[in-house]
Amino acid sequence: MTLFKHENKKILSNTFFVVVVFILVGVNIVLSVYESRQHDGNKVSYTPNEYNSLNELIRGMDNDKAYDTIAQLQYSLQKNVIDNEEGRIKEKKRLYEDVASEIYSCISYKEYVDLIVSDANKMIKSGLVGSSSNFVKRKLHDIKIDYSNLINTNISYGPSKGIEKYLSYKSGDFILIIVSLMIVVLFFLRENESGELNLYKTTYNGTKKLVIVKLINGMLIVVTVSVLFWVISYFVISHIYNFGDLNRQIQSIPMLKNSIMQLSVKEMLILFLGLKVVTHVTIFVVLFCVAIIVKKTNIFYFFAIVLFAFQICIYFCLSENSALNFFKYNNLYSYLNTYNFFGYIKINILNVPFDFKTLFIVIQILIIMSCVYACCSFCDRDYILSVTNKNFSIEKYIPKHSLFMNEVYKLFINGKFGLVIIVYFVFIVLSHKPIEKEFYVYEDSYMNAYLNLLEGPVSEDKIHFLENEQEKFDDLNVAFESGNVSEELYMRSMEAYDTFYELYYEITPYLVKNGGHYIKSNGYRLLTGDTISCDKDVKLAFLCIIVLLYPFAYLYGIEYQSGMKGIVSCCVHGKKQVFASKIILGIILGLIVYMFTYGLFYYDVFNKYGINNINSPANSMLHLESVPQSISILEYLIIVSVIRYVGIVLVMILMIFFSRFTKNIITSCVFGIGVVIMPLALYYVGIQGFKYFLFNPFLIGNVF
Amino acid sequence: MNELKIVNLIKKYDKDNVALSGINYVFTNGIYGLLGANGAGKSTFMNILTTLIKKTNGDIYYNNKSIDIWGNEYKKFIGYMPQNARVYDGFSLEHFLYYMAALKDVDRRVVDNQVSELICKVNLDKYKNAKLGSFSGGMRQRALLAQALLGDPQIIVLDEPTAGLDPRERIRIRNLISEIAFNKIIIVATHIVSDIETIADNVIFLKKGEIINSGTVEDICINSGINVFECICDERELLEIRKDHIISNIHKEDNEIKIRVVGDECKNIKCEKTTPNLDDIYLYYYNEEYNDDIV
Repeated sequence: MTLFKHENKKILSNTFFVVVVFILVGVNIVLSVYESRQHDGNKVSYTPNEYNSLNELIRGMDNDKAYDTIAQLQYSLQKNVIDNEEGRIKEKKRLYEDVASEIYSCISYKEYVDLIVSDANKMIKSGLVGSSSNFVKRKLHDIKIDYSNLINTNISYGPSKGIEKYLSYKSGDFILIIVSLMIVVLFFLRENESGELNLYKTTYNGTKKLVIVKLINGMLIVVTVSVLFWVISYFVISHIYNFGDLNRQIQSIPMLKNSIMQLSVKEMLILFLGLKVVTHVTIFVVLFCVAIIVKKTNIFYFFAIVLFAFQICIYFCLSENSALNFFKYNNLYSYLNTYNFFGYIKINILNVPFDFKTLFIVIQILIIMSCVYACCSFCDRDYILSVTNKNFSIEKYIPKHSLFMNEVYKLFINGKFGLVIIVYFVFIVLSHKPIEKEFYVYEDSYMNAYLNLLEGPVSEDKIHFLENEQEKFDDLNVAFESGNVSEELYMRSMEAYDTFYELYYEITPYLVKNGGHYIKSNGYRLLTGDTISCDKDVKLAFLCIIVLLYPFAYLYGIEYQSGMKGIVSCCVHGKKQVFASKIILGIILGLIVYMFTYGLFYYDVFNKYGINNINSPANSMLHLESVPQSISILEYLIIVSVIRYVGIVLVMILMIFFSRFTKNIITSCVFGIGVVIMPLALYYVGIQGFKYFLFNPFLIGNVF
Repeated sequence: MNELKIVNLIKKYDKDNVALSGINYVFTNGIYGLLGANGAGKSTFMNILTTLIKKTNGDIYYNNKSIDIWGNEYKKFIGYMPQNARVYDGFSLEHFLYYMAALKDVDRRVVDNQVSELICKVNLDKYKNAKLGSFSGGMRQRALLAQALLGDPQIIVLDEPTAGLDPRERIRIRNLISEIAFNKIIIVATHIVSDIETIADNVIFLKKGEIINSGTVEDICINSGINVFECICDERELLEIRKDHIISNIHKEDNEIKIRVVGDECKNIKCEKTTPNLDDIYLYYYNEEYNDDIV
């Protein structure tokens, strides 16, 4: 118990660990806000407040009544457009559609279950699924039985968007993995490398007992931090989105509609938290076990990355019905998608479908037990594990006499930034979601049709054309009121009116006043900081700075930290040339990361929306009213890109200053987080005052 | 013959913090041991010699030309080995030396030869491709010494070159320093007096930013004017003597205790005056800076 107490004190009194955990709590809050406000990839989106207000309006109504109310709202929205009333028409339309679909999901639950059972029956009878020993056939039998119990279940509606956001919140998991890595590195590997563990080996209690105590201690810390993080995320997300009545059944949440568990949302959330904690304890124990086996920090990082990369690949590559689907679902990455636990998943073990829920628990307990056993077996063994090929050295390919290339080597190989940047590039590519053009949105197709006719500078002819269009709508209105046109035909014809209204009454007067052109602006709006792309600007700035903070701090920090500053400075080329090499390296590195981070996004936008009218005045877009008319869209994009890049260079200079001042890389990074990342985060969470604070205007770019 | 002349060298960090208060000295070829307690000004002195920090006043002349006039060129004559540098863990020894050669602007035609010669000289040829991060303390010190010698500098400044090394490594480093001393000025700062005693031609005692004594080891020991007594006493007498005297050594033999007392006189009857060694002199000069007794 005393040993346990001392180990505990060691962790809790480590200032670095405690400070980083506090910073990560802040990061978790910011990311909870960020992810819950993401627009699900839709260009047109409503705010959480609008969603909450609508749900407030239908609170307490039964499903049918709520559905009717939304239908009425949809009808009056259409009417508002006809009556030229102002408002966020497109957003409201999308909001009503989404809520209506959520309600309909509850109303149609019985048919949904019926359909599943009857489809399963049909398929079993059809013989298409093979012999009775076949996995799919057995699974269909199970489906028939499992869902039959739900046929008479009534599902009442409740707002689900927030709950879905909470269940699929990923960043919290990644932050908790960082905490686990930190515990393993700080409180096991560092002690091992500094020789402290050898010292403990000579004591009466020996290493085995100590390792077990460290493991239990680490598990307790992981449990505490996991609960803290997920509870905080719960409060943050439930503050943004109303979670509704927590006593309703989980099938009311579209994401969990296929669940066969008879649970209320409240019970599900408690169970979800417990399962998250178990998963993070499993991950910690696995990482601890890897550390015990490999014994060295750099090799540990290598294996940890390989382990996770392998599991992610398996998760995405294997099919749901594959004979190897056991490995798809029973791996650490799958466990992090904890909501899978509530879904309907059958695991194929020798063609027998097993319930995923049982395996989720059993396999994790087995992993924990095996890892604890492995830790006890390996902790006393003396060996050195190496993953490097001694005959291969990248040093051979570095020009020996070039100071610049030596600086590159120092940062990329000595500082391990090469590995970081590879992981970053892979992350950017994998996490990239191509932009979908929303042709199914009527407004876009109508707007495109109008702009095909109007593109270019505003002219008398074009205004005349619009006046004619308005007259046509007026005539249609009169015809409808006098009963000469059917309601169906009238409503269909009027679908284009809200787009026309925007074009004629909002855009045209603006363009006449500012000398702008008619342009298809959807793509450019994504690049120029319109409200829909503002989050994207902050996110990309975040990514860029997070990945660059460490190398910028490393440029000079390594000289102080390694004690080489004195030796280097008293050399002939130790000051000016070294400084120039470091600055040039920083500038090039910043450019590469910047281009890669933004390049993919720019390419995607240009690829999807084209570059028509790129030489038109930038102020043709309403949100760029303050930009002078002489600046074209292309010039504006170049200016914004240069401003962002200047911001990155300024951050580099600041980090060099910090590293010279603190003489420590990690401390410089902590300062950098405080001065560069925190203001970005505070702006993101909605404190508008931070828009022009310190580096924010440079990094965000679109601040005009 | 190299000559490094220090004239009235003053360094003030601020008004009340004077690190060096007017040092005058002339270094010619040979090994110089720089001795002083912590805060005596050794590091400041070495940092000024190696151009790492700027002097407040005074001048330094290398071969009769001020180092301010030499400018950056002066750095070509300097080889510096700092104390406990961790170097770049990810560099191999050979790569590290090539990097240092590039920093020192060593002629590319001679770099290959110099690097391999120095690696052999510091006896690390088996480890030239090993990463510095895997080196023991002694190996790392030898690697640092090798980089200090790159480019054949004429003034070599070594800060605690043998700190933390086992006796075998210490002897190896000491021998290396003696080997390279020919035709060079070597300044070694250390707390290990025996190292200085073994290799230094001259010793400089620094105290509170001033040189309080200098000369050859022999001269200093004979002419220091410090009295040292070897006494035999029992435990009770030892306690009494410790109250008023500096004791540089205690040796217990059978039932009697042999001690070495540094001071102007010794009250013990069974005392015999003897010649001081560097340890005695060091203790005499710096005793007041250490509050603890020597046990």
